Parts: sequence; structure tokens; C-alpha cells
Amino acid sequence: MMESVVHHHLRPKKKFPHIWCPGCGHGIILSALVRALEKTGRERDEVVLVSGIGCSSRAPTYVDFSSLHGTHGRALAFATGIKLGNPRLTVIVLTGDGDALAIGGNHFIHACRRNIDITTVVFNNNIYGMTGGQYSPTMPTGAFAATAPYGMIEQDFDVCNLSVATGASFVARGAVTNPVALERYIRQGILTKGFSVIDVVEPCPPIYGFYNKTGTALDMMRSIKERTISIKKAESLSPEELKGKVLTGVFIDREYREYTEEYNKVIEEAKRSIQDEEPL
Amino acid sequence: MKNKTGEKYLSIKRNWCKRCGYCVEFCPKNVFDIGEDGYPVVARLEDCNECRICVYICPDLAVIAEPEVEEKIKDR
Repeated sequence: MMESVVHHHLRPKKKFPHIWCPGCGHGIILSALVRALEKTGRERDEVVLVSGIGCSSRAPTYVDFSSLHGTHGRALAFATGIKLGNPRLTVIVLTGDGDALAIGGNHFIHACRRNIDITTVVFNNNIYGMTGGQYSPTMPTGAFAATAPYGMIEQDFDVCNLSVATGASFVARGAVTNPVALERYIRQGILTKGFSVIDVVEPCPPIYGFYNKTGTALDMMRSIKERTISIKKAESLSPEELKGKVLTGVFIDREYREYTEEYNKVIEEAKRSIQDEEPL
Repeated sequence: MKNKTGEKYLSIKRNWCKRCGYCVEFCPKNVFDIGEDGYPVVARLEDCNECRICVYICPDLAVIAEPEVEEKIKDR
């Protein structure tokens, strides 16, 4: 049962194979997410998957949890509303790197700052795949894209350091080459009371691979496997050895003041103060 | 997961598979081979140690490890 749990959650009328390209990592993340949800024991009706626009945001349409497909970059804004409206729900945001950090950049940092109990999974393939290969804020400096034919000259965002700095409760980075660890990080994120960010390194073979001549999907997966290194292992390495490496693992795990609880306290206090007032 | 007679089980759902080759690459026991048409085939099921990496790593959800699941999605 546990291995094929995603097959038990597929929407009955949805057509398969799915729309994602051959070798795209989104399917791996989706099945890891469903396994993680199953392990946390959350009821199906108490889970809401919220997404914005992009390849990654098609993920909730394949599984039979409650879902909301919002506007570009605003998945976190919709999710904040859902969570405040019914704090009992487990709200999970599935978003791409462009969706979360460019169009929805402000929503992202302020959701981290508020520390609202939402889990965000960032499908990080460094490019806008659906619209034809524009560069995204996580594209590495020097890489090529449709809008960067001479190479990317901007500095890229580090999703994890950004989330830690802006106040998220739980921050981890996984890679699709290690789906077991990825599932564990997502599960920890869901169980954390507070804002959780899981950044997932994955390949985009037909678009990113095409512009950067990185070879086949398999070559890209091998390169991710070589590039990623766990935080523990990285501690014993010199800065030269760490050049070009991507750290994976749990960056921070801290529970503190959570937004919906604080908000409920304000509601209670407001109710009391209204009752105490003398009638007009 | 073993089937009713206690044997190991693995199959590829060919109409979902997009021939990325991840199952062949990531299997620690080298259970899969790439067939002539590019689709993976379960060649050495007896070597399988049931770690299920192939099921987890398949982006197209096309590696099936249980006969019940195979039956459930056979018309899709």
C-alpha cells in the first residue's frame, strides 16, 4: 500500500499520462508529497492543495485532495485566506520558482515573516518552463535562457537562506534524486506548526536543458546527484571544494509564535472589549 | 510488496511511461533493461530487493509494484 499510495489518490476522471515533459521532476515531487501526507495521517478532507500558475501548479489537479488553482504568484495569498478562515485545515502550497519568488516574491517573504502554519513546496527548476524558457530568479549566474541569450548576469536567489532570513519556522532543501529524503522533509514541514519551506532541486530537460546544452534528462539527473551535498558532509569541506555545490538538508527547524493562533487571540480580546463596553 | 502467492511483483505501465530511463539508472540492483523500443523492461526480477526506489523515482507514476494497483488503473 505504502509504495503506490499516489495511485490510490489519483483523480478518477483525470487523463493520463500527465502533461509534464519526459524526465520532468514534478511527478517525483507529487508522489513524495502524497506519501508524506499519508504518513502524517491527515484526513483527506482536511488537506487543501493550493497552487498558482505554471507547470508545477498543475500538480494538485492530478490528486483527489481539495484544491485551489489560483492566479500567478498569489497562491500564498489564497492559502493565507484559507488557513485563517479554517485553521483546522492542513494547507499546502505547490508553487514553482518563478511563481513563488518573482511574481509572488512579496507574498512569499511576508508569509515567512508572519509565520503562518502553511507548508510551501517550491518546485525549483531554475526556469519558466510553461511559457517557453524565460529566466527565473533562481537561475544560476552565467546560465542561458530565452531571455538571457548571452548568459544570465544577475545573482540568483537562494530560496533556503531567504526563507531563514525572513522568519520561516522550517526550511529544508531536497532533490528529486533522493525521493526518500524529500518525502521526509515534506513530512517534517507539514508537522511543523509554522511556515515551512521545502525547496526541491529538479531538472527541466526540454527547456533548461535545451538552452544550456546539458544533455538528456538522465545527464541532468546525474549532474544534480553530483552537485547536491548534505549540510553535514559540507561542514568538513573547504570553501574551494564546496564551489558549485548545492546544500541539501534541514536548514532550520524552530517553532515560535504562529500567526493563526495570534490572530485568534486578537479576536478573543476584541470580543471581550466589545462586551465590556457600555451599550450606547 | 509481494502478490498473493508471495512472489515479487514489478511492472511498467507502458502507456504512461515517457522513456526517461530513471528507473534503469537509479535501481541499485540493476533489475531493469532498456528494451529495443526504448521502454524499460523488468529483466531480473529475482535480483529485486524491494527498496522501491523505482516507484519513488518514476516521474510518470508508471512503475507499479502491486497487482491490485495494476488492476485498478488498467483502463487508464
